[in-house]
Amino acid sequence: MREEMLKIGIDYDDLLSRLANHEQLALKLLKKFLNDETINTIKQAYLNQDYDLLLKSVHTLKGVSGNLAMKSLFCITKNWVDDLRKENHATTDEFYQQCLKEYDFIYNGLKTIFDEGSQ
Amino acid sequence: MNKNIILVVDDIELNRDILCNSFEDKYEIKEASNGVEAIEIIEAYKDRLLAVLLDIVMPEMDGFEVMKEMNKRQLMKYIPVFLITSETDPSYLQKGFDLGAVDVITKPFAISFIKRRIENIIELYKHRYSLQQIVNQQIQRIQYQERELYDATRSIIDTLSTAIEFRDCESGDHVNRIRKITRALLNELVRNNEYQFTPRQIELIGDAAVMHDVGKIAISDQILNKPGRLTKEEFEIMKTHTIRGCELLENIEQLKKSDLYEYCYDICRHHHERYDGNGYPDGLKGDEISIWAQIVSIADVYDALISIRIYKPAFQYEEAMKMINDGECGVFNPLLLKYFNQVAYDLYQNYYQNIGTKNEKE
Repeated sequence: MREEMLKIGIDYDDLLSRLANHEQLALKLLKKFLNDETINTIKQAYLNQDYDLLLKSVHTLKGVSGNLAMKSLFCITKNWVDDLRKENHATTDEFYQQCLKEYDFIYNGLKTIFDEGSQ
Repeated sequence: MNKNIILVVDDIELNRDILCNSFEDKYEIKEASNGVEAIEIIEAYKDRLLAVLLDIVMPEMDGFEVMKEMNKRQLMKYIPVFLITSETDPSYLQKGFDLGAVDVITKPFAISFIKRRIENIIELYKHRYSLQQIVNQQIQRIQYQERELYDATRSIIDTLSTAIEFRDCESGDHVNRIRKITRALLNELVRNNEYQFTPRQIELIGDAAVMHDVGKIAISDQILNKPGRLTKEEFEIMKTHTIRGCELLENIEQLKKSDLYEYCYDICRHHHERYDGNGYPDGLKGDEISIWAQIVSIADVYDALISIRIYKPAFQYEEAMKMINDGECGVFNPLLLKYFNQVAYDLYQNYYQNIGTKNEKE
């Protein structure tokens, strides 16, 4: 499990240590991540150029990814939030692309792991 | 009271999940996704809340606003608030502490650590709360006992004074009237901002006034109950009732322990002093005489004039007032006389009306 998680950008050791080694809880939360709607809110806000909503939802995704030890995604969203707070919208397009890419990567990876697991 | 609820406040469900999961084995968990919901739950369960785990960035009402509101409603005293935030900016953290947070936990956190930190504080608060309860109960018990003690002391005073006054007064009512007149005058002075006395002090001084003539027990019947005027020598002996009274009071151990004692002693010794220095036993003058001794002087004179005594009939109200105001019974403090005049008629109506009627019939 550990290797598979690492491959999709999740620092599994870190995640477990922060959850007092409750592997069951960790997996439960990762599964829940697949149903998380935040990414859709980000997409909508981006399309509507609603920067307030964008800031809120990216901040949310930052929290989620931080908690789930998704290091890369956390890094992207953290930097994006900083820029959005400073009202630096020049970087938004770039961050949006990075964010989606990383998100899809993790999402698909997790889906595979859990689908295979349930077979 | 069953205190076992922890409130988790965060707009991100995942964060709430992690915290709930960590504490739900031992505690009942309530959740809120914004500040407004949080305040509602805190208000509803304030007696059962052990802790609030509070995020800062939330819609509707953020964590700082929640704490401000809690402060306004005095809810922080017994409920520890832990701020859980992803902010690392020191000014944020400082603000959190300034608003009363007991700890600030940065995200992402290690659950076993914060569990320990939170449970340590909860234990401390529980302990503090139960200590506070014990102290409150003790205070109540002490206050109750103090009251009982005071009532016992007052009982002694009343009994003693009534018995002593019984020898030369019509009845034991004199003692009660002096108490009431003393208190009425004190209240009048306070009402007009001339002096500051607490209600407790007024109660005490009133009771102390009751003992003003205990020294009469040392005066022989011949003198005390002589129907006519006293000779010079007899009067000198009579005057000693002030000092003899003090000697008696000094010997009552129970009384000496009480707050009453200082007032009793002073009044007993100085209720025959006069403002112009012509009183006895010490010849004190003006404001050398304590205001309460001055009040009891005037009360004593007033009562003596209006009641029947062995050596005189009862005077009418108008006559008594004239004698006092004209200085026929000694010189009194002009300020005190002014306020005495303001209350004298009410006192007459309340306490002497019956006596007056009785005299007219005779």
